[in-house]
Amino acid sequence: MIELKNLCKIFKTGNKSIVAAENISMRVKEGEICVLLGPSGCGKTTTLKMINKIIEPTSGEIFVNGKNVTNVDNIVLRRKIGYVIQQIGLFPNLTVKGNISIVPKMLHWDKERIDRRAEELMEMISLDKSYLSMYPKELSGGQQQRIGVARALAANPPVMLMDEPFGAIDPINREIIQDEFLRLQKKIKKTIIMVSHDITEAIKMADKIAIFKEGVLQQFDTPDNILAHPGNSFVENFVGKDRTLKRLNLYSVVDVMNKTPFIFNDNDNVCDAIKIMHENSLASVFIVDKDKKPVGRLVLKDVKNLKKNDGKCINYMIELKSMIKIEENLRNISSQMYLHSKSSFVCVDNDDKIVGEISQDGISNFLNATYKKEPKGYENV
Amino acid sequence: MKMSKYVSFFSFIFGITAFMYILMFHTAIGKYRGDVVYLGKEHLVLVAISSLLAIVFGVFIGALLSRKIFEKHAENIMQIFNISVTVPTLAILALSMSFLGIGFLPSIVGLFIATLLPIIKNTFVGLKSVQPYILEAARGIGMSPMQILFKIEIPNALYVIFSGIRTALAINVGTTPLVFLIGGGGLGDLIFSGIDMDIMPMLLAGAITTGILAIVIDKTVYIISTLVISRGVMPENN
Repeated sequence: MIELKNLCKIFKTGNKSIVAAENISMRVKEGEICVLLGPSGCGKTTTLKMINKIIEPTSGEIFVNGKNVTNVDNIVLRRKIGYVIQQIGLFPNLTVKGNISIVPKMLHWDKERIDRRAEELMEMISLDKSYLSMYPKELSGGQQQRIGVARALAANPPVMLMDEPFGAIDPINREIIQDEFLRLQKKIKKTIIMVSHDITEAIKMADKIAIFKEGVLQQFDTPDNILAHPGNSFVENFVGKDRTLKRLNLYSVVDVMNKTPFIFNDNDNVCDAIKIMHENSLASVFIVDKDKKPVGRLVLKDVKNLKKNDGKCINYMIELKSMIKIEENLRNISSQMYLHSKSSFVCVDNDDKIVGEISQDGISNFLNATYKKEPKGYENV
Repeated sequence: MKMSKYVSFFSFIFGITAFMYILMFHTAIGKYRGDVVYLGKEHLVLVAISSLLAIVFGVFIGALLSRKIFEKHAENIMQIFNISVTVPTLAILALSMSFLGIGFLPSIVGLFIATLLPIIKNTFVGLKSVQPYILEAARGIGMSPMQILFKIEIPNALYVIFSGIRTALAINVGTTPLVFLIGGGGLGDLIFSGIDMDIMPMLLAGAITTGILAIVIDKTVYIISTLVISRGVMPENN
């Protein structure tokens, strides 16, 4: 857990003084990723660097895991906080192994333990052990970035500070490394504060977002609340006019789908299906085979004129063109809805078995739900 | 890669030795064999003592100037050093003599001063050119200023520092014959006597040996540098 209380930083140049951070107070819970977001010069980096005292705070207090670290020796403090910077800053004179074992060495771990840890870290960042003997200049940018994260994790610090960690990587690799990092974070559950100027990255990575402007914390809240209920006009402008579309990134199909759709077996009588559709005013239902795998869609207006004993559902259904995996995010689904001009899709699990149905109305209702509640607005601290 | 480097070094040494052998046993220069050995030793002692002192002090002063406390003045101090490089080495020896008299000590001091500047300059520039973000990363993971200097800054600046040392040694070996003029001995004895008495083989015995010493020392320092400098810091084609 990291807690900041009334943190201030005033830079003095000549007789001018510039307020870089003004009364910053916030609390990041254990295991959460908090992204500090804002335009350049807004005080987000200053705030981050005050936590490990790369920049000495002018006033205010910092607590790491409940302990006041304001008066802890800088060097002792920094060895307990992982630190990743945008330029990565691997030491060119050391091998990969030298780089990632430098903190354990300073903490006087024995050689065996350091070796074991080095191999463990390489596995964590999914790089082969053979990289351990290479030098930073022999690695690609993405590989260097992973090593940078491994170095920060080496002594297993409970908290990590990351200053635009993915900023220097090309967009394609950035996505991959972000996903990899999120998977890793699920396992290691560190408390992380990360600086970014990219709202998309923040939405993707953050449990909490803190938006800064001119050294003042504007809003500190979950990504969904920031997007749904911007606290002021600055935040509203910063998150963009398409903020509702951005909210689609935050949820996956499983959060929104109707988990109990009406389904029929391919051998069921079509008249039963028609009856159910009439009773529940449905436009269509999904047809599954005996393994619960969806095979088609039965549309009411195609079959409503059929009389009794007209046979099995399988004879009247339209074959399914696409199925949706439940871990897909809503933005991708919406895109597919426009692509196929469909207002609903069948959702399947990893064995291709039907688990639900997702519809445009379902998504709209889900996104709207938050506006019906009392707006939470500015959550201070 | 590494093997071939040693092979080329040893074949180089072999070539030099063969060259010296022919020179000493099959030409007129051979007459001065005894002098070459005796004065050569003296010469080497002068070079070794003055350049080792210069390396130790030069690296120390260069490192000191690159520290934060000297941030404001370092550039000005370096400017003064740069100007002092233009003082001819002969003048430095003359100055040394006017303060310390003649003999071994003023020779060492004169050579030391002439050798010092390139080492200070390259150490300073090398340490200053370590990227600031590397230093920030080092600070951020909790290294002390001393650890940063010895484990990060100096190893990363070594390539530049070593090229300073090579320049300095070239100057040193080339200046050492001049210390004969202030009573320091060395191979300059043969050279200047040869000139004064108009005996060409004597002059050549001193001059050729001095030249060869310079080449051997430079090559040796280069080999040492490839062993000491991390592969991660070496420029690509080395």
